[in-house]
Amino acid sequence: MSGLQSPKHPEELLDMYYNEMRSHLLEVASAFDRIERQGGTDDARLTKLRELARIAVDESPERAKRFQEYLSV
Amino acid sequence: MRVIEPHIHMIARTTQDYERMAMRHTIACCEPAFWAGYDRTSAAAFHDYFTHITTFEPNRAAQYLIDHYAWIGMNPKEAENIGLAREVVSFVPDFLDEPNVLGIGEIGLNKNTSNELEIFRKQVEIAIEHDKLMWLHTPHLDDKLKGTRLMLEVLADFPKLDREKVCFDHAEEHTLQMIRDAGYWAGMTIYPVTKNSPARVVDTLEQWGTDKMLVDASGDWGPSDPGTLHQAIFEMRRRGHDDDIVESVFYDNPCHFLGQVPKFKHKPRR
Repeated sequence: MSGLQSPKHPEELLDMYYNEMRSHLLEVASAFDRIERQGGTDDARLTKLRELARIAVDESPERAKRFQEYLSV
Repeated sequence: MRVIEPHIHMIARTTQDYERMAMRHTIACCEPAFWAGYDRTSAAAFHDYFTHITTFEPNRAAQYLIDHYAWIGMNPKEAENIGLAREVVSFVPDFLDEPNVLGIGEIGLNKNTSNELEIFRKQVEIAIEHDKLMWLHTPHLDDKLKGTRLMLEVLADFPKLDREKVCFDHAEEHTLQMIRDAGYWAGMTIYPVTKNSPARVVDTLEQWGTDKMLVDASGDWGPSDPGTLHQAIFEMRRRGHDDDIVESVFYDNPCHFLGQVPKFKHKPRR
Protein backbone atom coordinates (compact mmCIF):
# COMPACT_ATOMS: atom_id res chain seq x y z
CA MET A 1 0.00 0.00 0.00
CA SER A 2 1.31 3.44 -0.93
CA GLY A 3 -0.10 5.92 1.56
CA LEU A 4 -0.27 9.67 1.86
CA GLN A 5 2.13 10.87 4.52
CA SER A 6 0.48 13.19 7.02
CA PRO A 7 2.61 16.28 7.70
CA LYS A 8 1.45 16.31 11.33
CA HIS A 9 3.48 14.98 14.25
CA PRO A 10 1.80 12.62 16.75
CA GLU A 11 1.65 15.35 19.41
CA GLU A 12 -0.02 17.72 16.96
CA LEU A 13 -2.58 15.06 16.08
CA LEU A 14 -3.25 14.41 19.76
CA ASP A 15 -3.78 18.14 20.29
CA MET A 16 -6.24 18.13 17.40
CA TYR A 17 -8.21 15.08 18.51
CA TYR A 18 -7.85 14.84 22.29
CA ASN A 19 -11.15 16.53 23.17
CA GLU A 20 -13.01 14.58 20.50
CA MET A 21 -11.59 11.25 21.71
CA ARG A 22 -12.37 12.13 25.31
CA SER A 23 -15.91 13.11 24.36
CA HIS A 24 -16.58 9.89 22.43
CA LEU A 25 -15.25 7.71 25.25
CA LEU A 26 -17.35 9.63 27.77
CA GLU A 27 -20.48 9.11 25.66
CA VAL A 28 -19.85 5.35 25.68
CA ALA A 29 -19.31 5.34 29.46
CA SER A 30 -22.51 7.34 29.97
CA ALA A 31 -24.56 5.03 27.75
CA PHE A 32 -23.41 1.97 29.73
CA ASP A 33 -24.36 3.79 32.96
CA ARG A 34 -27.76 4.76 31.50
CA ILE A 35 -28.64 1.17 30.68
CA GLU A 36 -27.36 -0.09 34.03
CA ARG A 37 -29.36 2.52 36.00
CA GLN A 38 -32.54 1.07 34.54
CA GLY A 39 -31.63 -2.39 35.80
CA GLY A 40 -29.23 -3.52 33.10
CA THR A 41 -29.63 -6.39 30.70
CA ASP A 42 -27.71 -9.50 29.68
CA ASP A 43 -28.21 -8.69 25.98
CA ALA A 44 -25.29 -10.12 23.98
CA ARG A 45 -24.80 -6.78 22.26
CA LEU A 46 -23.40 -5.34 25.49
CA THR A 47 -20.78 -8.08 25.61
CA LYS A 48 -19.93 -7.27 22.02
CA LEU A 49 -19.63 -3.57 22.81
CA ARG A 50 -17.28 -4.31 25.74
CA GLU A 51 -15.02 -6.32 23.44
CA LEU A 52 -15.14 -3.53 20.84
CA ALA A 53 -14.15 -1.03 23.51
CA ARG A 54 -11.15 -3.20 24.34
CA ILE A 55 -10.13 -3.33 20.67
CA ALA A 56 -10.52 0.44 20.34
CA VAL A 57 -7.95 1.19 23.04
CA ASP A 58 -5.59 -1.80 22.86
CA GLU A 59 -1.87 -1.55 22.05
CA SER A 60 -1.94 -3.18 18.59
CA PRO A 61 -2.27 -1.45 15.21
CA GLU A 62 -5.23 -1.51 12.81
CA ARG A 63 -7.79 -1.06 15.58
CA ALA A 64 -10.46 0.27 13.22
CA LYS A 65 -10.04 -2.67 10.83
CA ARG A 66 -10.10 -5.22 13.65
CA PHE A 67 -13.14 -3.47 15.16
CA GLN A 68 -14.99 -3.87 11.83
CA GLU A 69 -13.86 -7.47 11.38
CA TYR A 70 -15.06 -8.41 14.87
CA LEU A 71 -18.55 -7.26 13.91
CA SER A 72 -18.60 -8.98 10.52
CA VAL A 73 -20.73 -12.08 10.04
CA MET B 1 -11.25 24.25 -5.51
CA ARG B 2 -13.89 22.40 -7.53
CA VAL B 3 -15.76 19.47 -5.99
CA ILE B 4 -17.62 16.56 -7.56
CA GLU B 5 -20.11 14.55 -5.50
CA PRO B 6 -20.00 10.99 -6.94
CA HIS B 7 -22.97 9.58 -4.99
CA ILE B 8 -25.97 11.42 -3.63
CA HIS B 9 -29.74 10.81 -3.69
CA MET B 10 -30.94 14.29 -4.57
CA ILE B 11 -34.53 13.11 -5.03
CA ALA B 12 -34.64 13.06 -1.23
CA ARG B 13 -33.06 16.47 -0.74
CA THR B 14 -34.41 20.00 -0.86
CA THR B 15 -33.50 22.56 -3.46
CA GLN B 16 -31.69 24.41 -0.68
CA ASP B 17 -29.21 21.53 -0.58
CA TYR B 18 -28.37 22.16 -4.24
CA GLU B 19 -27.81 25.79 -3.32
CA ARG B 20 -25.56 24.87 -0.38
CA MET B 21 -23.59 22.44 -2.52
CA ALA B 22 -23.13 25.08 -5.23
CA MET B 23 -21.88 27.60 -2.70
CA ARG B 24 -19.32 25.03 -1.55
CA HIS B 25 -18.05 24.73 -5.14
CA THR B 26 -19.76 21.48 -6.07
CA ILE B 27 -20.01 21.55 -9.85
CA ALA B 28 -21.39 18.08 -10.55
CA CYS B 29 -23.21 15.33 -8.69
CA CYS B 30 -24.17 11.76 -9.50
CA GLU B 31 -27.41 10.11 -8.39
CA PRO B 32 -27.52 6.31 -8.31
CA ALA B 33 -30.92 4.66 -8.33
CA PHE B 34 -31.68 3.11 -4.96
CA TRP B 35 -34.29 2.25 -2.33
CA ALA B 36 -36.87 4.95 -1.70
CA GLY B 37 -37.30 4.22 2.01
CA TYR B 38 -40.20 1.87 1.31
CA ASP B 39 -40.65 -1.12 -0.98
CA ARG B 40 -42.27 -0.09 -4.25
CA THR B 41 -45.22 -2.20 -5.35
CA SER B 42 -44.98 -2.01 -9.13
CA ALA B 43 -42.47 -1.80 -11.93
CA ALA B 44 -44.21 1.39 -13.05
CA ALA B 45 -43.07 3.07 -9.84
CA PHE B 46 -39.45 2.31 -10.79
CA HIS B 47 -40.04 3.59 -14.31
CA ASP B 48 -41.33 6.85 -12.87
CA TYR B 49 -38.34 7.02 -10.52
CA PHE B 50 -35.82 6.49 -13.32
CA THR B 51 -37.66 9.15 -15.33
CA HIS B 52 -37.46 11.54 -12.39
CA ILE B 53 -33.69 11.23 -11.96
CA THR B 54 -33.07 11.58 -15.69
CA THR B 55 -35.32 14.60 -16.29
CA PHE B 56 -36.45 16.59 -13.25
CA GLU B 57 -33.25 16.39 -11.19
CA PRO B 58 -30.88 17.53 -13.97
CA ASN B 59 -33.11 20.58 -14.49
CA ARG B 60 -33.31 21.35 -10.77
CA ALA B 61 -29.52 21.03 -10.39
CA ALA B 62 -28.85 23.21 -13.43
CA GLN B 63 -30.43 26.18 -11.68
CA TYR B 64 -27.43 26.05 -9.34
CA LEU B 65 -24.88 25.43 -12.09
CA ILE B 66 -24.50 21.81 -10.99
CA ASP B 67 -24.37 19.10 -13.64
CA HIS B 68 -26.52 16.20 -12.50
CA TYR B 69 -25.69 12.67 -13.66
CA ALA B 70 -27.52 9.44 -12.88
CA TRP B 71 -27.00 5.70 -12.58
CA ILE B 72 -29.86 3.35 -13.44
CA GLY B 73 -30.37 -0.04 -11.83
CA MET B 74 -32.40 -2.33 -9.62
CA ASN B 75 -31.23 -1.91 -6.06
CA PRO B 76 -30.40 -5.01 -3.99
CA LYS B 77 -32.79 -4.22 -1.17
CA GLU B 78 -35.84 -4.54 -3.40
CA ALA B 79 -34.30 -7.40 -5.39
CA GLU B 80 -35.76 -9.76 -2.81
CA ASN B 81 -39.05 -9.31 -4.66
CA ILE B 82 -37.60 -11.34 -7.49
CA GLY B 83 -40.55 -11.13 -9.89
CA LEU B 84 -40.69 -7.35 -9.62
CA ALA B 85 -36.91 -7.10 -9.83
CA ARG B 86 -36.75 -9.11 -13.07
CA GLU B 87 -39.40 -6.84 -14.59
CA VAL B 88 -37.50 -3.70 -13.60
CA VAL B 89 -34.20 -5.06 -14.91
CA SER B 90 -35.89 -5.68 -18.28
CA PHE B 91 -36.28 -1.92 -18.88
CA VAL B 92 -33.01 -0.72 -17.32
CA PRO B 93 -31.33 -0.71 -20.78
CA ASP B 94 -34.02 1.67 -22.08
CA PHE B 95 -32.60 4.43 -19.87
CA LEU B 96 -28.89 3.94 -20.56
CA ASP B 97 -28.80 6.34 -23.49
CA GLU B 98 -30.42 9.21 -21.60
CA PRO B 99 -28.13 12.28 -21.71
CA ASN B 100 -27.22 12.21 -18.01
CA VAL B 101 -26.92 8.45 -17.45
CA LEU B 102 -23.38 7.24 -16.75
CA GLY B 103 -24.05 3.54 -16.29
CA ILE B 104 -25.62 0.86 -14.11
CA GLY B 105 -25.99 1.52 -10.39
CA GLU B 106 -26.20 1.25 -7.60
CA ILE B 107 -26.33 -2.49 -7.85
CA GLY B 108 -24.92 -5.11 -5.53
CA LEU B 109 -25.95 -6.86 -2.34
CA ASN B 110 -27.82 -5.94 0.82
CA LYS B 111 -28.39 -9.09 2.91
CA ASN B 112 -26.36 -11.36 0.61
CA THR B 113 -29.29 -13.51 -0.51
CA SER B 114 -29.61 -15.69 -3.61
CA ASN B 115 -32.25 -13.37 -5.10
CA GLU B 116 -29.96 -10.38 -4.67
CA LEU B 117 -27.13 -12.32 -6.28
CA GLU B 118 -29.29 -13.23 -9.30
CA ILE B 119 -30.30 -9.61 -9.92
CA PHE B 120 -26.76 -8.35 -9.37
CA ARG B 121 -25.32 -10.86 -11.83
CA LYS B 122 -27.95 -10.04 -14.45
CA GLN B 123 -27.17 -6.33 -14.25
CA VAL B 124 -23.43 -6.95 -14.49
CA GLU B 125 -24.18 -8.79 -17.73
CA ILE B 126 -26.15 -5.78 -19.01
CA ALA B 127 -23.36 -3.38 -18.09
CA ILE B 128 -20.77 -5.47 -19.91
CA GLU B 129 -23.03 -5.98 -22.92
CA HIS B 130 -23.60 -2.21 -23.21
CA ASP B 131 -20.02 -1.30 -22.21
CA LYS B 132 -21.19 0.83 -19.25
CA LEU B 133 -19.63 1.89 -15.98
CA MET B 134 -20.88 0.20 -12.81
CA TRP B 135 -21.49 1.80 -9.42
CA LEU B 136 -21.66 -0.94 -6.78
CA HIS B 137 -23.44 -0.88 -3.43
CA THR B 138 -21.78 -3.02 -0.76
CA PRO B 139 -23.90 -4.10 2.23
CA HIS B 140 -24.08 -2.14 5.43
CA LEU B 141 -22.64 -2.98 8.83
CA ASP B 142 -22.13 -6.64 9.79
CA ASP B 143 -22.96 -7.95 6.28
CA LYS B 144 -20.40 -5.79 4.48
CA LEU B 145 -17.34 -8.05 4.66
CA LYS B 146 -19.13 -11.17 3.39
CA GLY B 147 -21.13 -9.22 0.80
CA THR B 148 -18.06 -7.54 -0.64
CA ARG B 149 -16.34 -10.92 -0.97
CA LEU B 150 -19.40 -12.38 -2.70
CA MET B 151 -19.57 -9.48 -5.15
CA LEU B 152 -15.89 -9.89 -6.00
CA GLU B 153 -16.53 -13.57 -6.66
CA VAL B 154 -19.42 -12.76 -8.99
CA LEU B 155 -17.34 -10.26 -10.95
CA ALA B 156 -14.46 -12.74 -11.22
CA ASP B 157 -16.77 -14.87 -13.37
CA PHE B 158 -16.67 -12.20 -16.09
CA PRO B 159 -13.24 -12.32 -17.79
CA LYS B 160 -14.22 -9.57 -20.24
CA LEU B 161 -14.96 -7.11 -17.44
CA ASP B 162 -12.79 -3.98 -17.48
CA ARG B 163 -12.11 -3.40 -13.79
CA GLU B 164 -11.32 0.27 -14.41
CA LYS B 165 -15.02 0.72 -15.12
CA VAL B 166 -16.24 -0.50 -11.73
CA CYS B 167 -16.41 1.33 -8.41
CA PHE B 168 -17.17 -0.48 -5.16
CA ASP B 169 -18.87 2.08 -2.96
CA HIS B 170 -19.29 2.16 0.84
CA ALA B 171 -15.80 0.69 1.28
CA GLU B 172 -14.46 0.76 4.83
CA GLU B 173 -11.36 -0.29 6.74
CA HIS B 174 -12.01 -4.02 6.49
CA THR B 175 -13.01 -4.17 2.79
CA LEU B 176 -10.56 -1.82 1.11
CA GLN B 177 -7.72 -4.25 0.70
CA MET B 178 -9.71 -6.86 -1.20
CA ILE B 179 -11.26 -4.22 -3.49
CA ARG B 180 -7.94 -2.64 -4.31
CA ASP B 181 -6.11 -5.94 -4.66
CA ALA B 182 -8.64 -6.88 -7.32
CA GLY B 183 -7.96 -3.65 -9.22
CA TYR B 184 -11.27 -1.83 -8.79
CA TRP B 185 -12.02 1.75 -7.83
CA ALA B 186 -13.11 2.24 -4.21
CA GLY B 187 -15.65 4.75 -2.96
CA MET B 188 -15.83 5.80 0.68
CA THR B 189 -19.18 7.03 1.85
CA ILE B 190 -19.51 9.56 4.65
CA TYR B 191 -22.74 8.86 6.50
CA PRO B 192 -23.40 9.53 10.16
CA VAL B 193 -23.47 6.52 12.48
CA THR B 194 -23.50 3.64 9.97
CA LYS B 195 -20.72 4.37 7.48
CA ASN B 196 -17.56 6.50 7.42
CA SER B 197 -16.88 9.77 9.23
CA PRO B 198 -14.87 12.53 7.55
CA ALA B 199 -11.91 11.77 9.84
CA ARG B 200 -11.93 8.03 9.02
CA VAL B 201 -12.05 8.81 5.30
CA VAL B 202 -8.92 10.92 5.61
CA ASP B 203 -7.29 8.18 7.75
CA THR B 204 -7.95 5.75 4.91
CA LEU B 205 -6.48 8.10 2.31
CA GLU B 206 -3.38 8.49 4.48
CA GLN B 207 -3.04 4.71 4.75
CA TRP B 208 -3.85 3.77 1.15
CA GLY B 209 -3.03 6.84 -0.92
CA THR B 210 -5.29 8.62 -3.37
CA ASP B 211 -5.05 6.41 -6.45
CA LYS B 212 -8.47 5.14 -7.62
CA MET B 213 -10.15 6.45 -4.47
CA LEU B 214 -13.42 8.37 -4.44
CA VAL B 215 -15.27 10.04 -1.56
CA ASP B 216 -19.00 10.71 -1.39
CA ALA B 217 -21.50 11.99 1.15
CA SER B 218 -24.49 9.92 0.06
CA GLY B 219 -27.12 12.35 1.21
CA ASP B 220 -30.53 10.69 1.16
CA TRP B 221 -33.79 10.60 3.11
CA GLY B 222 -32.07 9.44 6.32
CA PRO B 223 -29.94 11.44 8.75
CA SER B 224 -27.28 12.67 6.36
CA ASP B 225 -25.82 15.87 4.99
CA PRO B 226 -24.30 16.73 1.59
CA GLY B 227 -21.98 19.06 3.52
CA THR B 228 -20.12 16.13 5.05
CA LEU B 229 -18.19 15.83 1.78
CA HIS B 230 -16.88 19.33 2.39
CA GLN B 231 -16.17 18.44 6.03
CA ALA B 232 -13.82 15.75 4.69
CA ILE B 233 -12.13 18.36 2.51
CA PHE B 234 -11.63 20.57 5.55
CA GLU B 235 -10.44 17.60 7.61
CA MET B 236 -7.81 16.80 4.98
CA ARG B 237 -6.65 20.42 4.82
CA ARG B 238 -6.45 20.85 8.61
CA ARG B 239 -4.20 17.82 8.78
CA GLY B 240 -1.84 19.76 6.60
CA HIS B 241 -2.34 18.11 3.24
CA ASP B 242 -1.64 20.32 0.25
CA ASP B 243 -4.65 21.75 -1.59
CA ASP B 244 -3.36 20.22 -4.79
CA ILE B 245 -3.64 16.72 -3.30
CA VAL B 246 -7.04 17.52 -1.81
CA GLU B 247 -8.37 18.62 -5.19
CA SER B 248 -6.94 15.51 -6.81
CA VAL B 249 -9.19 13.41 -4.54
CA PHE B 250 -12.38 15.47 -4.66
CA TYR B 251 -12.20 16.67 -8.27
CA ASP B 252 -9.62 14.91 -10.44
CA ASN B 253 -10.35 11.36 -9.33
CA PRO B 254 -14.09 11.59 -10.07
CA CYS B 255 -13.18 13.11 -13.44
CA HIS B 256 -10.91 10.16 -14.21
CA PHE B 257 -13.48 7.52 -13.25
CA LEU B 258 -16.65 9.17 -14.53
CA GLY B 259 -14.88 10.68 -17.53
CA GLN B 260 -14.60 7.23 -19.06
CA VAL B 261 -18.10 8.08 -20.27
CA PRO B 262 -17.96 10.80 -22.97
CA LYS B 263 -21.21 12.27 -21.58
CA PHE B 264 -19.34 13.38 -18.44
CA LYS B 265 -18.08 16.80 -19.43
CA HIS B 266 -15.62 17.74 -16.67
CA LYS B 267 -11.92 17.14 -17.29
CA PRO B 268 -9.21 16.44 -14.72
CA ARG B 269 -6.52 19.06 -14.25
CA ARG B 270 -3.98 16.41 -15.22
